[in-house]
Amino acid sequence: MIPFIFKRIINLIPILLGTSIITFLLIHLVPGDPAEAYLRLSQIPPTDEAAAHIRKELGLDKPLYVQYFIWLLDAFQLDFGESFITGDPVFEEAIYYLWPTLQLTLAAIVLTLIISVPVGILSAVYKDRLFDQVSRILAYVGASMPSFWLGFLLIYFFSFKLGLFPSGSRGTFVHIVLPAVTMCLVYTFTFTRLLRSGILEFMNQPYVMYARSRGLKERVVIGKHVLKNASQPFITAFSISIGNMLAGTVIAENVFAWPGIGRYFVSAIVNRDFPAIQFCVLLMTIIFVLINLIVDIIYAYLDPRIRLKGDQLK
Amino acid sequence: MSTEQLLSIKNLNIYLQEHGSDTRNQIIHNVSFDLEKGKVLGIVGGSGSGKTLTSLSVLSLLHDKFSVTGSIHFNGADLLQLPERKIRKIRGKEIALIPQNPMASFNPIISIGEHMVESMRSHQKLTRKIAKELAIYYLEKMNFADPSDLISQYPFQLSGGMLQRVLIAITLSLQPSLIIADEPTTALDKVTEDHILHQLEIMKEEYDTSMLLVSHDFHVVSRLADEVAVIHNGMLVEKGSIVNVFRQPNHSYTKQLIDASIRLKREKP
Ligand SMILES: Nc1ncnc2c1ncn2[C@@H]1O[C@H](COP(=O)(O)OP(=O)(O)OP(=O)(O)O)[C@@H](O)[C@H]1O
Ligand SMILES: [Mg+2]
Repeated sequence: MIPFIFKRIINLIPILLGTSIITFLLIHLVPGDPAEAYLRLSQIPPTDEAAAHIRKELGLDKPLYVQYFIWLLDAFQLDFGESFITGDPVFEEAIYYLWPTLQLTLAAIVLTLIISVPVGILSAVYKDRLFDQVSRILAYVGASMPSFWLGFLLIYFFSFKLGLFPSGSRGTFVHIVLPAVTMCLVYTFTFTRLLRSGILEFMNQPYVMYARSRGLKERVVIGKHVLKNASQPFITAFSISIGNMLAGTVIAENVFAWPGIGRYFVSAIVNRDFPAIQFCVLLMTIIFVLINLIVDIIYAYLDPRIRLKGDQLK
Repeated sequence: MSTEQLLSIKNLNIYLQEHGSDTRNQIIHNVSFDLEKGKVLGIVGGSGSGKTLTSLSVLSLLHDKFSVTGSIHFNGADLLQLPERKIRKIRGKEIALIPQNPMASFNPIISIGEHMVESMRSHQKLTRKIAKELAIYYLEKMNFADPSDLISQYPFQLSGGMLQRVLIAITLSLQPSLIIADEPTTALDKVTEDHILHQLEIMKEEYDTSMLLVSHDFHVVSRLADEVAVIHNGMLVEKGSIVNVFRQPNHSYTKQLIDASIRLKREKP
């Protein structure tokens, strides 16, 4: 297990380097002069002279690969440059905004799991009965509802009409309820159905029949022989959705005035705040590959065929 | 007939109705047979004749697209009328199934040892440690060279013949009074087949276990069975003591099966 994890971590290095090069190139090859953006944001008249001065100061006059290596060397010391807008280090700024986003995403993930796992299992066990029917109808409704619209609905009823939850900004626990519900609802319904169909598919496996034939309790048959196998497609879909959820926070952040990295990133793009854009992309990549790593480890933990691969097959 | 029957199947009919379809096909037609305590009954028939369906209906293991009528009396109680809760206590403990396809019958992500441990522990109060020791003991009985290594292995690391022997070790560990062995030697080489039949013989003698031995091969059945029932297209065409049926088959289908098994035996000495 340990060598497996180690190998996976080593594999991450080229991925991260590759992403950083691609974003670097994208930013620098796209039309629009960083020096000009800098001057505009600092409200300095963009004369040729001023632009040349800034170019020199930001190192933009050097060849692209030199610029990249300078960026990379600084990056190893966690120095990702200063924001053109605030002049503060983007590393500190982005981390400051990342935390609320992670909080929100985590809350949405936990909420999704708490609801979809038991409901999915019960829908499979009580297939085509009332419980399953109701969850199917809710899934159709839930999956076809845009999340911003749902967000406004929730604000209208629970905040404006009933006054139960605050409508926006960050603070105590109650502040997170509405945005987290908004984010998780779409996924909750889809995952419920996904888990249900996965369970039903594995329910007809010969080894499940054999497990039953040995007199195992139905709880063990489902929990051990069905669920462990059925959870793999579920985990795959889930890990892909965590990425979507993180990206999707930008909607919830805007609707609920939640000060997260989504809003920070969007404003960096709008203002062409190059150091901030570069770092945000890198940060998102790191988060994505970390999620993938965790998922791979869970796979290997669940499935000996992955863990022991190489033992027998070449 | 005497009342000392362990298993008594009467007028068994099995129908198949696929989900969403309104046609109902009958697959098993009015099958009846009895099994005396301590005896082995061979059930012989070609592929698709309904041997597996009949076997699974005894333990109420059929998919719910099948419906079953008739009666299956075991130790006096009609298994078809028992609630799931009571059937579960009979499965494994009283009647153990050796399923047809060993490769597909093991959960790919659960170790061999765990398969054995969970089976024993679902019927007896045993600690994990003791159940594990018992697992090793029964694997040794099946002549595995290194059982303590085997229990931590996964099904994909074993061959079909080895898995078949593990299936029998699991059955041994459950000590049932009736075993339903569904084609326990199909797809095995002659040496492994011989070994497995020998183990089943020992089980019959040592533990006085009764057995339903399902096979398409008359030769396999003749080694163990006291009586034989021949199924063809879901119907029981012949039954009787193995000696009588072998000497004087009444039905042409039975003759065909016997001829086929003799030919097979000559080809593979
Ligand atoms: N899951 C199923 N769905 C639909 N029909 C089935 C199913 N299982 C079996 N049948 C049908 O029931 C009939 C009897 O099948 P069964 O598996 O009992 O045969 P068998 O005698 O065990 O054959 P084999 O020697 O090949 O194992 C077959 O004709 C088959 O078409
Ligand atoms: Mg069969």
